[in-house]
Amino acid sequence: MSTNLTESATQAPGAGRGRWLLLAAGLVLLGVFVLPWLRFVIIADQRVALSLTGLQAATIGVVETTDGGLLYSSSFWLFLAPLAGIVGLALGALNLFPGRSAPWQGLLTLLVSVASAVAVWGAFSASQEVAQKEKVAVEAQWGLSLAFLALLLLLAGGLILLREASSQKPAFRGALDALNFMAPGTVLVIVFFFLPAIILFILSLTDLSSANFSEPWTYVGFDNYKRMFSDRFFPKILRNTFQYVALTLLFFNVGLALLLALLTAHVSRRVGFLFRLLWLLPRITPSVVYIVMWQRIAQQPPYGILNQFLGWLGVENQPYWIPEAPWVFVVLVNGFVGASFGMIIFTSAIEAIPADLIIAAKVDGAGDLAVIRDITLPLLRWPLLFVVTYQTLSLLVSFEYILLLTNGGPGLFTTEVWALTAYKRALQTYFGSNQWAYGAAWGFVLVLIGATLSVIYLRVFRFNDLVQEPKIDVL
Amino acid sequence: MRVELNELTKRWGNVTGADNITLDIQSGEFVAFLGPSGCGKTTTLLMVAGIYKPTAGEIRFDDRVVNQVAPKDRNIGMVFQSYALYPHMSVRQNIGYPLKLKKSPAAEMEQRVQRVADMMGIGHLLDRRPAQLSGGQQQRVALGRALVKEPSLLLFDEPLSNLDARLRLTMRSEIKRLQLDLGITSIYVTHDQVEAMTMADRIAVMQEGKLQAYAPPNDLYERPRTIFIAGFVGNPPMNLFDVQVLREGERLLARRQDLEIELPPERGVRAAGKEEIVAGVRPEDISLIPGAAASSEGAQGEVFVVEPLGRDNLVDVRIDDLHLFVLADPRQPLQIGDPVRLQFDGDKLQLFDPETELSLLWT
Amino acid sequence: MPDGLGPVKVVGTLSTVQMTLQSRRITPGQALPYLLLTLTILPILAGYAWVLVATFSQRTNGLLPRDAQGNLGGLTLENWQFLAEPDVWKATLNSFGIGMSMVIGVGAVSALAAYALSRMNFPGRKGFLGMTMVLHAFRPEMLLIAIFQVLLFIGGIPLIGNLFGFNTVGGVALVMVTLDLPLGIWLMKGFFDNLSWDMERAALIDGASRFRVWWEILLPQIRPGLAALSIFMFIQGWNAYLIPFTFTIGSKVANLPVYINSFSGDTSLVSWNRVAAIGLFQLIPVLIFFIFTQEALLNIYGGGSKGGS
Repeated sequence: MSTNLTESATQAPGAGRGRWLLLAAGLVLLGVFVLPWLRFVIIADQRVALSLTGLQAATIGVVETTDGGLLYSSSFWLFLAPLAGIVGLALGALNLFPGRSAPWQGLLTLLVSVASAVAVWGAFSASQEVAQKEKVAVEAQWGLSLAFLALLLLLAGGLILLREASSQKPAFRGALDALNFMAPGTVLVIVFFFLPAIILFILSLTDLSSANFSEPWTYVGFDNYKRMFSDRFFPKILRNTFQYVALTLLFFNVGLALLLALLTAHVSRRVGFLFRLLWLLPRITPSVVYIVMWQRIAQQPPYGILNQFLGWLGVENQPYWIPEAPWVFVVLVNGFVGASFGMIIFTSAIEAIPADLIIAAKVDGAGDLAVIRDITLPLLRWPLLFVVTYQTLSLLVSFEYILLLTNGGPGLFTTEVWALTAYKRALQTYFGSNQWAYGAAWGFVLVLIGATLSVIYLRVFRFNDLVQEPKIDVL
Repeated sequence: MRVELNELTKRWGNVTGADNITLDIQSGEFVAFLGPSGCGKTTTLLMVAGIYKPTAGEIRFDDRVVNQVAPKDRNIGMVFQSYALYPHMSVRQNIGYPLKLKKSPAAEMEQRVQRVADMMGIGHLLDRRPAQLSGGQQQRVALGRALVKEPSLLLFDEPLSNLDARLRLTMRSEIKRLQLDLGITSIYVTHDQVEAMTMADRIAVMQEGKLQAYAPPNDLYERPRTIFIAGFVGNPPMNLFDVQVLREGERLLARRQDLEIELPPERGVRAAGKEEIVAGVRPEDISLIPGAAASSEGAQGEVFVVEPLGRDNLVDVRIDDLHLFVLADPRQPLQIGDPVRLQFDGDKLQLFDPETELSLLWT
Repeated sequence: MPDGLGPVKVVGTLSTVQMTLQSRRITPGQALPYLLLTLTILPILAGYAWVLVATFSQRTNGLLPRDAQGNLGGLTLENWQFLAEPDVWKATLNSFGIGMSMVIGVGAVSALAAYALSRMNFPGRKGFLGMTMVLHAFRPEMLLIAIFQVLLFIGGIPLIGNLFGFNTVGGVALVMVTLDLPLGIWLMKGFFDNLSWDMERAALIDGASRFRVWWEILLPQIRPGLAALSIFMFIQGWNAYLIPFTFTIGSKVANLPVYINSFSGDTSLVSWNRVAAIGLFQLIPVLIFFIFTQEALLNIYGGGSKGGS
């Protein structure tokens, strides 16, 4: 027993993987940077410098220009990269001996490799600028790309080293264990949720558009917000958004959903299941195909399905219905997709009502409607509130179906909602250019509204009570 | 291996799972943690296993503090109430899993799995899935999995509670025998005092996270140190009731309305000076004499209910507002309402302080 | 916990009660639900019927197939000529690629994160969970504006940029995976929450690391849930329109929906029957999954939002 314990204390699991990474990364970095650099310094002669290959020149930050002179690229920091190589090599070698890893080594490697990565990145952009005119471009970029990858290796090596070293400290180890599992998700969430949210805000303070894309961003303060609130169509868009969310929610995502849940619960089990399944169809149909179906339903004669039925009924008025009643179709199209969510939630809530309760009511003489009114609906209070809040959030930010169906039209802003405005301003060639910054302002306000509603939503549903504590302590 | 718990405490926020537990377990000893559900016995066991991290205190294996050692490095085997077999693995893979994780060579693994399985009497079931086994067989697999890596400490978390009564009896003796043969230090968590009494060398009685007593079974039974232990250990449970202490010349009496018990001098001395105490007497230490005899000895009561237990009758005798349980010979014909006389064996009487709930005799 | 949001147990259903309490004779009151259900679903059925009919006819009037002269008939396979075009297959391949990326990406990343969120204690756990729950309702598609800038930046990185930058299938897949990650994590967490703690403890004592417990002990037990989630994610990726449309230019990287949409714009001359045929072509795998995994799909679409369970 005691031998077991001693072993576990000195020998961290999987020890030694990090050192090979460090060694490899160090070698590559030295190869790419230090050798040409040494050559340049030792024989510090312009002719030698001139005879450097493109790769060597670029990696030491010197580029030959067409008129024979030398151009020093802006990357003094580039010297960090060979330094990173040396550190990597040294630490790798140090860790060849067992029982040597310590947390500071991992940390040092991380710091150096991050700093070097930034430097190499800078050098890369600099060389690209030069490369637009000079012939060294391709080779130099390859060299720097290689260096960049080596630095990533160094980063990984440092992480492993840190992990190995700290695995002897249990407090550390617990956090690191969880970190391993969380890392991929966290990185993606940061890169595609948090960074964009910040970028969105910064963007909204500039005047960036496709017209001045290649220039540096210009800070314009809150001009975009002022412009947004004073936009002639702002009230219209606000009203549209409210109308869209309220109508869809009321008639479909909650109203129809509740009706469907009650109806499918009152028919035989298999039929109920079949109908619930059919209601999933709109949701799993590709949006593009789904919209084509609706367009075809609403077409003018002789193509339109609706008009064919109207014809059989003898109705004279047979226009193309979508421009005729755009709001009806916007709500219909979204509602038919949205209804299934509430339907499923309500159905499981209805099925959870104990049969005894309903039998008791029936014995007391209640009819079907009375049972629904006095028993089912009161018990659906929480699911109802849940669906309302949840779907308000979803509707507020959704615009894909409107984009495909009417694209905000017909005419000016007839069915354009907030989210669609943000999207179109920024990413559709709208009035000739992509107004990224202006669209970002619209988008950011919506993000703020959504975030506020979300906090309320978590409060209402007492989120903290729903989280169960893990029943294993990480050691 | 010796195990020592030193002021071991586990807290989650305001909730205390285990409170200041101190005890030691000798090498090869079989110790039971006994207590009602939620008393902290499983929490303590999981801290020994390394699954829970102690909030305070120490766990020592052979003098070495193992608080920070991961479960896999503690060389322990554990058997769970739910068996916790891996449903997607065959019995062979289940038992072999600890060896696989140790990277044992395939041949050795095969051999050891077979040996353990034969020892547990499940050698012919190795290619089945857990779902195809009966509860008893599953428990043997779980036991085999715990034993296969030759642990220095075996932990049992209510391993028999999911089995039917008869199987429980068989497994009880098998586990006890196995533990004796292999000589592995064992901790056995249970809420069933019969299990604890029959299997353990020593029993740690726990209540509300605290260690109430730690003693051999007989000691707990004959010399309960607190009211809780007196009431918890023993089946049917001890009768406990408030009495007043009176001195009549040389004699010391415990009285409650018409009930009067003479305290033997060596016990009475401990109660002297107290007015109110709690008296305890086990149902088998009361003798029941039918009929309302003229003798003044003993207390007069009437039969309230008779519960036949087979070997004995458990008779609920009412004396005024007090109900006492008495074990009686089933050949005595007793009817509800019959007058009976009870005689107490004063040497078996337990006395407790009602304030501290501690025994007046054994502290 | 608010009632109705927890794990739902079927104690007895309304419909079984109905059947036991009422006579077998169909009354108007009993027929009404069937009638209402049929009426409300009609537009969907009509839409699907049109796709089926139009695919195999020269023209359609309403739901009826017509030939070039406008007479009933004109059934044909000519709409399927698109199968000979390489562009369709390229788009199909791209759609398939996005779908598979979703399966693998969301599956792997959310299985990892959900395990930690469900079964480990670490700082930031509650915050991450709360964020997951919110982001799953509030799918912030206006972040696309800024994600566009992120993709442009990634596009500038050597090597990586060619795989995951702007105007690449990889970039589109990466964004899609992230946007559906909250849903994946939330569902997976639900699966992990229901697994036995004793089993995990047993494995830890047997000598497994948390990673091995996850991989060898727990993942095999949530296989059905994993399969359902995979199908759901594949459909999401296969159907994706907005993100591929926003982040790709040109037919090389277009996926099927984007390809279809290029035929059905308001301004272009719409070849409806051809669109219907490609639409049906795209619907085939979706409908196959739909038919074979009905119950699982219903659970996923509803289960992902049952609050805390």
